Amino acid sequence: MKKQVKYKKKLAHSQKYTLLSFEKKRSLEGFVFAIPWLLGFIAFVVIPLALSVRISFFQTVLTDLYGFRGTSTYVGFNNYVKVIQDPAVGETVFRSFGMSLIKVPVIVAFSLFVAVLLKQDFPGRTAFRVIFFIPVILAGTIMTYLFQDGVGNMSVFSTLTTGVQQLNSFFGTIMSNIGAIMWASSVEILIFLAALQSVPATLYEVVELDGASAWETFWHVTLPYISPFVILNFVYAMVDSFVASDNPVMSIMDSMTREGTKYGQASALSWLYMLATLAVILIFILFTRRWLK
Amino acid sequence: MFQVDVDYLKKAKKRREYAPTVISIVLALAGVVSALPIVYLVVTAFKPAEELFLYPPRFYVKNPTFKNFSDLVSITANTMVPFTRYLFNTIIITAVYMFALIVVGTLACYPLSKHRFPGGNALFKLVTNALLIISGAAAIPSYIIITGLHLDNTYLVYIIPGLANCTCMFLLKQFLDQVPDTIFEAGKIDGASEWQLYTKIALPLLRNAQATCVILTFPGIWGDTATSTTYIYDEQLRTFAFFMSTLQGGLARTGANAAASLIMTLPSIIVFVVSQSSVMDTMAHSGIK
Repeated sequence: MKKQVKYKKKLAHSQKYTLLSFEKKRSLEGFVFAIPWLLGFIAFVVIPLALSVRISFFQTVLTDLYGFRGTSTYVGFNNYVKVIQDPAVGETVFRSFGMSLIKVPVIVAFSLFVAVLLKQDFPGRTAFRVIFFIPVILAGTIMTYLFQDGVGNMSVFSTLTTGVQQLNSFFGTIMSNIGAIMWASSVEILIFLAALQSVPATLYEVVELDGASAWETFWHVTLPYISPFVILNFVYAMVDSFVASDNPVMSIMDSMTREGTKYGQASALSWLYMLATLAVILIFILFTRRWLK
Repeated sequence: MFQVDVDYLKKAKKRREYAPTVISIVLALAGVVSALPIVYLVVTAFKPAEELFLYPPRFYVKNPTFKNFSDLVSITANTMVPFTRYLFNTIIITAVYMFALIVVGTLACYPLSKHRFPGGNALFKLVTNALLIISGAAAIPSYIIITGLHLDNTYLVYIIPGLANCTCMFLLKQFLDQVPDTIFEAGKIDGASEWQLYTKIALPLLRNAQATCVILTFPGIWGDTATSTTYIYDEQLRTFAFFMSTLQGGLARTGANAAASLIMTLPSIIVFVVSQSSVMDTMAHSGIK
């Protein structure tokens, strides 16, 4: 009897003070699963980004960069100052923001329009979905081929729109970019489609019984319901246009990197640009957060 | 009064009957612009020389020919390394990369989604932010790391740096978040180990998300030329896409070039068309809601 009590006490004691609880042990096991991915993430994302912060404070050439043993000189914020003072860089950054200002709303409006249509039930829906989503998967491969020098040295879309371009410069900008805009909208269309699918069908039934037209339904039911996604898409399209490889700021960075002696400045520029981008996005969210719910 | 209502309903019914046709027409117009580059790509590959250089370019072909393809074959016949070697490289690399990407990604998304370990949420935020900030600036440091790890001039350089893919991670985790925890708890009560929970429950449920990851990353690795030029010094180890890109240049090769572009993009389109329903499903459930 006494022995049994002692044994029970021992058992309780051991349960209380095991090294790891059952849940913790399972979590640890799970964590082991994540290790390969984490290693990759640290080695090829975190460390490069950290290094690039470091490089932005140095005047350096490529041979110096290996292990930072060489003759790199610490220059403090000089690289940042140089980038800010360079009028060409500033102008390009503002121009690229200005371009995005026109492009982003058009992309969002267009993708919302297409998504609303694609959500309806009509013959050939799958085919249309494929057509609108193909750009997502082909972005890298053919885009360069088609938008730079196409066959016979002319971009497909610019030849289509040379006529319109002469009419009016604002309209011309949009028109000459129309292909690019449609090709940039694919992911936004996907997000909108997913959003539209989340609007409860009962809401539509109710307003239909109340005699609302399609137009009224869109403005009073669909749009309020999916407004967070509209904002999400705005942010997505902004980021997309800021970091697109055809963005002029990106090409400045590229040319700085190629020069071979300006890695520091290129890194400084990319971090400044990233901060500017984040600032623009934050301001946008600040102004639109009442729709963000 | 009643009469008016009936009229209204009749009109509404009529409108609903016409709606599909109207939608099809509008979408067809928008879709034409969207599909134009692909049409152009396909058509150009079959154009004879005299139509290739027409201005303005045509979106149809009058006398289709396979000459561009035979030109391509004759060009590839005279290279140092046989082009089958490049093709072999690309197929091996793509297959191994896809497999490893899915294994690494699903392994990591399972504990992130279904376990609460300290820093898990912070890590996920880091991942989603990394999606935004990865830019040209990281190119030089990546180069230093890759050469420092002596991955250059091996097949591994195509595969390892891209395995920790943030977009895939995001999709897989969001998808697994939609799966109720109770399923995993039931498994635990039945005595399943973590490994069994992963292989028997998480993996099968993630099938659509896996397909989406494949579609999103396939064109990148299939058409990758930058790795070959930057990290590979041995011609034997370079990819098919790299080989195709070396063909570019020179008006004489314009036709062969167009054929090469078509060959390069076709696999991506096929992969997408085959599995587009999985993609739609994943996107609808990736739960940005």
